[in-house]
Amino acid sequence: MWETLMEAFANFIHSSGLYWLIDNFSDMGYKNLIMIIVSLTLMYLAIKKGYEPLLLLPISFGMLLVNLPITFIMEGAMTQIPLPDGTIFEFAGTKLEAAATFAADGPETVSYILSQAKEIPGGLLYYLYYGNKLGIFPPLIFMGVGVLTDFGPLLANPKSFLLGAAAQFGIFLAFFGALMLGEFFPEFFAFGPKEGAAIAIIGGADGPTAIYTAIKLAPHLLGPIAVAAYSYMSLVPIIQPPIMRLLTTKEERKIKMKQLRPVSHTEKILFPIVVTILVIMILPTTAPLIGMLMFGNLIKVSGVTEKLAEVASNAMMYMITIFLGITVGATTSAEAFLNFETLGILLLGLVAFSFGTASGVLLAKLMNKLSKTQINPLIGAAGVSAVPMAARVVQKVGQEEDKSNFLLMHAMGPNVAGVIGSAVAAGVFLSLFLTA
Amino acid sequence: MAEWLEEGLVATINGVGTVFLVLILIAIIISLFKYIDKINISNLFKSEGKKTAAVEASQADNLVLSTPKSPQEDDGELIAVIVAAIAASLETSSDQLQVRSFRRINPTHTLWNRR
Repeated sequence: MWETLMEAFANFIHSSGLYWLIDNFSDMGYKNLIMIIVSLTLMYLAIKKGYEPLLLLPISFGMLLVNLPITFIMEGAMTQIPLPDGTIFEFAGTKLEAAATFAADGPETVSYILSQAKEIPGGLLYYLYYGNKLGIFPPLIFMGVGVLTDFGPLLANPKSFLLGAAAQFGIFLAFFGALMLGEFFPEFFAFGPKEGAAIAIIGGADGPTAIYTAIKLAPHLLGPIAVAAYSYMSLVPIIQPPIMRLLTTKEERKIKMKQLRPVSHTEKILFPIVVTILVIMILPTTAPLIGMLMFGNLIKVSGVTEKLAEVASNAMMYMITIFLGITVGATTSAEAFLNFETLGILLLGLVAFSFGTASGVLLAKLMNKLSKTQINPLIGAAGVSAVPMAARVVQKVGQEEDKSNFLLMHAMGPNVAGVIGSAVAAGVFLSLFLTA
Repeated sequence: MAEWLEEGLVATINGVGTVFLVLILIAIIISLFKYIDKINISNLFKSEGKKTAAVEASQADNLVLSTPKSPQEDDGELIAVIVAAIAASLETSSDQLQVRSFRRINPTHTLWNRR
């Protein structure tokens, strides 16, 4: 009796995560421990510092869950096949997959597996992750973003589109950088064009677009890419201002821009329809992102589907944010995250962001020289999207020079053009590399 | 030229080119919007003018004001405020409500004063 009790107790101890952690510490355990500390740090940044808490908190919690030992919360189904000698063979996959794998051994084996094997379902986050894997969550979030986006400032000043396009230079520079790292340091960075494209989109400063592209082109890098994208987006107020100040003169920063013309309701309704048709006709691969973004905008501006707009931008968006965040976090297992590639991604993301800001500002400077009406070059920095944070940064930097200068609405134009620009850039990458 | 370099250059030129092309195209079309609107505005104003007049007439029919009111009060405004408050508490929009009667209750006749 005493012995049985002790044995049960020992078994219990052996099946605990803590035992696994200590037992495998030098091999894998220490990595899990590091990841747990990283997740707690991100949680601290989200809660205490308020860095993109809506996404960073679910991501960091997903990270914590998947790195707590032997939870199998992100593992797929498993099939246990009892063998004639009494032992159990474990197959990573469903019963059907097991049967298909051993189909060559004859129909008897297949029917034996189908009748005798036991299928153990996968973990919670594994199944929730399908919303990401199948590319469903990011476009749905984009729909909510569409509802919340006011394209008015862009309609009032169509030149803003140029700035939204210029700021995408950073993306292509980072793409180049990724190819270079993959070429010269292949032992550290397994970056081909697909990986390069997925990493470079971080410079679009647009979470859903980055996640969508990563899922399609380089799903194994999704975790670090998402973490880098959201970290840099929350760091926009720190990364951008020095670059903006460096590239502009005091006089340029003081420029006051002409007030924007009022935009009619008809124009606002026409905009999402025209953009959808035009962009998707040219780049069919952008249909999920641009389509959902513009649909979201249309249900708001049309004025006849208030309830739909409300659901898409509130209840639904928050729900999907939870699923998306926690499952993206769950892709950051220790082996997927703790490597040189993550460092490379963080570095390239920063390059993309900084050069995007710089090219936006430089084109705005050029436009100011050429245009009849004055353009404050600062608004070019908002072209990197990161709505509305980048536009607020422009407002703040502008007011540092002149308290009475209000650039916010002018910056919103390039800002929302940047969203369309980075979705188009993602579409170009998808059309180039998705089938390659 | 090295393969990676060629690949990178092709993708970059392609990408930057497409991004600019698409966004410039949209910009051109958007800049035409203001003209479309100018053509429309004259028509819209005509039809909208009629519509608002009709709406006002029907609203006037619906507002049966049964109390004599003091001349300095703007009842239209007051009704609008009350309707908006009711609409908010019923969680509907004010166009779902129809004001049939509007009457001030004499403040001395509140429940508290009745004995």
